[in-house]
Amino acid sequence: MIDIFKPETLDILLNTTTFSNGDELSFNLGVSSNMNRTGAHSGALDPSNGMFWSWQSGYINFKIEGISPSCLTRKNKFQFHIGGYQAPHNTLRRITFILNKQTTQLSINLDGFFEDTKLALENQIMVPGAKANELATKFLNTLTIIE
Amino acid sequence: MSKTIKFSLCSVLIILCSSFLVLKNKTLIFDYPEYWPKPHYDFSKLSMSENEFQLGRQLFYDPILSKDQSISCASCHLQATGFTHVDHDLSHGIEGRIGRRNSMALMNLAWNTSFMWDGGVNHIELQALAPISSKNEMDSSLKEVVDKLNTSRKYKSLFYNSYQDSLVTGQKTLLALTQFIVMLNSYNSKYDKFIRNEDIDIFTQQEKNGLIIFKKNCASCHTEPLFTNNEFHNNGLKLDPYIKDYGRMQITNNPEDSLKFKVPTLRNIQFTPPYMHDGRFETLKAVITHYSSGISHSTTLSERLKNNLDLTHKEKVDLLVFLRTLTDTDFLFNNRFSYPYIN
Repeated sequence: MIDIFKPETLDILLNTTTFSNGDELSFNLGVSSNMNRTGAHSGALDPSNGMFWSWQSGYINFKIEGISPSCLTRKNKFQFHIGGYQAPHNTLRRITFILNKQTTQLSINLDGFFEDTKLALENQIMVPGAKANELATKFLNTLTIIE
Repeated sequence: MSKTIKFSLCSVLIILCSSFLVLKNKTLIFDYPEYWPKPHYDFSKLSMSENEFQLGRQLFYDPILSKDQSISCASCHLQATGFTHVDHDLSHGIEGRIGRRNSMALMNLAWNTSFMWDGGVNHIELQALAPISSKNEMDSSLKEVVDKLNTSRKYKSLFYNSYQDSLVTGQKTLLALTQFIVMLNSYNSKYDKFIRNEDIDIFTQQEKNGLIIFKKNCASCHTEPLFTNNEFHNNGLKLDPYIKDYGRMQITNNPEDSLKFKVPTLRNIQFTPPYMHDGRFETLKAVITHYSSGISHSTTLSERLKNNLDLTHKEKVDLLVFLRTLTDTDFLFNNRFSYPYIN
């Protein structure tokens, strides 16, 4: 589980023994549908981590929260809790990059997420569904590899 | 001579002690009638140990789960009334807050395919999260509960006994609660004894008539032996304009699920009033009257309820009398499920 405010969660050591140019880095953004259906899990998937909905079982794959003057909400807050594992709105995303260096920085540039999001109109998505699915795809725009 | 007696006394004591230890760590047996379907729950994460069961029991009866230590699971789920509350139509939470729905009776949960009136919870191990987090119930969070339990010497030791590790986690807390609630099984009612031919004369003619009426009119949803088919149906209840509860649709966002609610079990129904998701009926008589003449017609009304329940007065009484045979006093007064005075 990555928390932008906890620097220790931002370094990921992959214990692979070999590396050659052109290897792929592949990972899931979110929690698989199987893990969403099989009860209480431990570690990063422990429901006490606050990334689990209680009234409608399922993991929150990512949260983006903040303040913007465009939001005419209480304290100008916006909240995106994106999750949902059931078709057709499964928000899990598989991400793949081709690597040319052993040490790689995965950069998250949130501009990609906010670029064409009209915060004045859209500032609270906290349930699974079509909107969440759309934002899960939009989040992919934030990810790049810096080598 | 006295030495021999002492010696044998000693060995008796040792034997007693060792059998006590064995008892304390005994494995639980999940028992149910052999003609029942297999449970839906897979049990793989539970230790099925007495220690985990007793830990779950402590948690179930402990208001430490709520934000201000005032409400426990048992506040709304009382054993003597089939593990639900009576007297209120809607559930009560901390600071006198009132919820939106009637609390559900807890029994035979390993056969449930989903939980809550709207089926929003997909797994028994996650059920407790809902009341713990709901603002109108315990208004806490699993993280807050885990933090509190981690400062309790009593719980550190109970968790150690169950998991050989005193660190309390969210997963272990949920599993311990599951180990307790999954054992709350009811299958020894008068009806069960009749079905098993344990006592041929146990059913009166009136109860037999009631069972025939039940099979013909009710069993397609309240299917034996669990008395629920685990489905969601609109059973013709008019929308309460204050609560505005559309049930299953709030989970699926599908208008076809509007006003649909979970079909509840009817076991121990005599002791679980009030009835329906909003507790609008106080008596079983009122429930039968609803199905006979009170159905509100809307687009999602269950196909099975398009025609009124057409029963004579005598037949209604027989049906009511049959429903009372679903009472299982072995379950309602089983000491193993009651408030844990010891500890």
